[in-house]
Amino acid sequence: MPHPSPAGHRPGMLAAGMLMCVALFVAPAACNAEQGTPIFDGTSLAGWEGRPDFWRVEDGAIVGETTAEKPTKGNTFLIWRQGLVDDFELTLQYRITGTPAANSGIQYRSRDLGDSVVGGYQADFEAGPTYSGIVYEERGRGILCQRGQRATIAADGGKHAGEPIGDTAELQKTIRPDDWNDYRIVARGPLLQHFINGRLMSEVLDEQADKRSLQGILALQLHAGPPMKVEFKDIRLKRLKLADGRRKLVLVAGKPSHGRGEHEHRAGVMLAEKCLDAHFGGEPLPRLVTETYTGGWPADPTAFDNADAIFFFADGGDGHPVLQSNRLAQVDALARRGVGIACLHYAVEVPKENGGPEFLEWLGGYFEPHWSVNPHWTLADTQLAEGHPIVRGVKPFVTNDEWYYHMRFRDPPEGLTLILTAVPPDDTRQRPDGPHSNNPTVRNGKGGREALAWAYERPAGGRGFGCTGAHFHRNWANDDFRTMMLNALAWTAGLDVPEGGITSSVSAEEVAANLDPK
Amino acid sequence: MPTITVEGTGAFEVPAGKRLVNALAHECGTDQLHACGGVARCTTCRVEFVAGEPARMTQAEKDVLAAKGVTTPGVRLSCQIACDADMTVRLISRFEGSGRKDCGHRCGDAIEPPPQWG
Repeated sequence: MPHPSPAGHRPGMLAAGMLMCVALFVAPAACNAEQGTPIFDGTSLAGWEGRPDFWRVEDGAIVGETTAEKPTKGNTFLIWRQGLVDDFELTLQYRITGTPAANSGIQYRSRDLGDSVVGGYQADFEAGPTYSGIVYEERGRGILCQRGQRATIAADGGKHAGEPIGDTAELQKTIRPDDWNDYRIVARGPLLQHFINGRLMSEVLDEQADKRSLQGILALQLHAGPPMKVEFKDIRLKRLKLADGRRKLVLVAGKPSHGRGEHEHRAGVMLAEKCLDAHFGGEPLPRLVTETYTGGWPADPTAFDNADAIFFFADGGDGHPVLQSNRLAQVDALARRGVGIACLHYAVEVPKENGGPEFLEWLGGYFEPHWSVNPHWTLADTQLAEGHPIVRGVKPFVTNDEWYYHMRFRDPPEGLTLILTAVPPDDTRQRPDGPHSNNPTVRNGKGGREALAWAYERPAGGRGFGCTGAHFHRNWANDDFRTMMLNALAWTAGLDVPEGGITSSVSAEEVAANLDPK
Repeated sequence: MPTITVEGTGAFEVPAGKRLVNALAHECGTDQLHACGGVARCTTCRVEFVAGEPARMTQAEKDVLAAKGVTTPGVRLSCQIACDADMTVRLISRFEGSGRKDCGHRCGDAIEPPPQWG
């Protein structure tokens, strides 16, 4: 695996990478696939959060420092706020100076305990001779693996030594004191590996399901103790595709919109995530990992890098998050790689000329203005696509919603399955013509059955799903609607849906949680 | 930084010089009791050393161990010990099963009373 040299960026490589991107019409963010995407801009702490009296940026590096006058009482952390990490490779350079007691580390898949305190896995390093490279668990199980060792932590917490890597004193000699060193962390499912200057230092297979972590925050540590200084630079994150049949779903909630209880993007997405996590979390190694980004397009430049599917619940039309900047090309590149895409309610609408062709490729259908319509009505004569995994455990249901209908679908409709259909009342076909309200085709379709949710299997691989309801947040409380959505999200990510569907129960409090302030 | 190993719990890095009672609570995350708040009065902070028992002992620890009749070899008061070397201890006075409402009063950063090494 190519590894950033201590000199930092390699302009030649970067230029070549960018040329390749232009040639392949791939978004720039994907250019760093090989060496990871920078998550520190070299000049500011944008995207990071910690106590400003301990952390600053200097000479292109993040600096954490304690002095005799300004010690830290407990360990304090600088947290990366743009996303969580699951399976990944992180590379950075560090330099630590001070007494031999000076200690720091890189937290990953960790928990935010508040007040700039973090617990979880730590890639340890220090100015002293003992701990650099070990796998530590801050505020948890402590030292999981000493340097030079391989350890398996069994389900019952018992530690079993594997084949040794090497002599710890010899490994220490490969670390440059008071100078820059390369750290690389590789985390794949339960396997954790720490490398310094290209040498494997320690390796843990963590099978203690009730204690281990498969996802969490990244953070940098400044340890309590005598005055010390730690510097980090060239921090790059490369997300790794989940292995062993596991899938990752990234959920994107659009910005707040409409009145209270309507277009509740954040609350809807977080409820879906909670139900999915509850369903899959009980498995020894969960088959689905979810990550939610709220407030619109993720600030995390790596957000979609190891996604198997993306769920957009956001306002659409010209303001659709995927239409801004160069994102249409970025998402199109993901879809061509087989990444599933699911859209809910307004997020199924894009202009015919801007996004329409892509939505037909990604989802098999979309709300096309002047062709599709958006009346409010109550489902009647609901039918479900018999035999399709998405309707497992779902009974025909009745909800009042802004059920858009008369979508523009692929023609011919190969690969397309109409999941949910119903018959709209004729008065929904009597509104004046307009981009969303009516048109001659809709007007002439009185009594016709319309599709409100659909699934699409792309000929080249990858799945798409669209559903037009969920204007009203209260409809998430409908068990059948919710099961259909959860099934659809898992299916879009490439998972099989269990025979009885992904059932869940939600309390009134849970449904009311996370509503946007409006 | 010394390593404090707690039998059955794990091994933890602890800032050199930190009071053992505080290290057991903070870094090691144990429910070690310290009812009197670490002032050498109650002996609930006692631990049993498996390895690395410090040779020296504060006068306050000596006095309270004698007064309370704690004579088992290797049993020491964690509030009177600073983590200045690697140690392995066994927990023998935990919140769990104690019937108490909490682990005890908060212990200060420095050994109290000011140590006189007996």
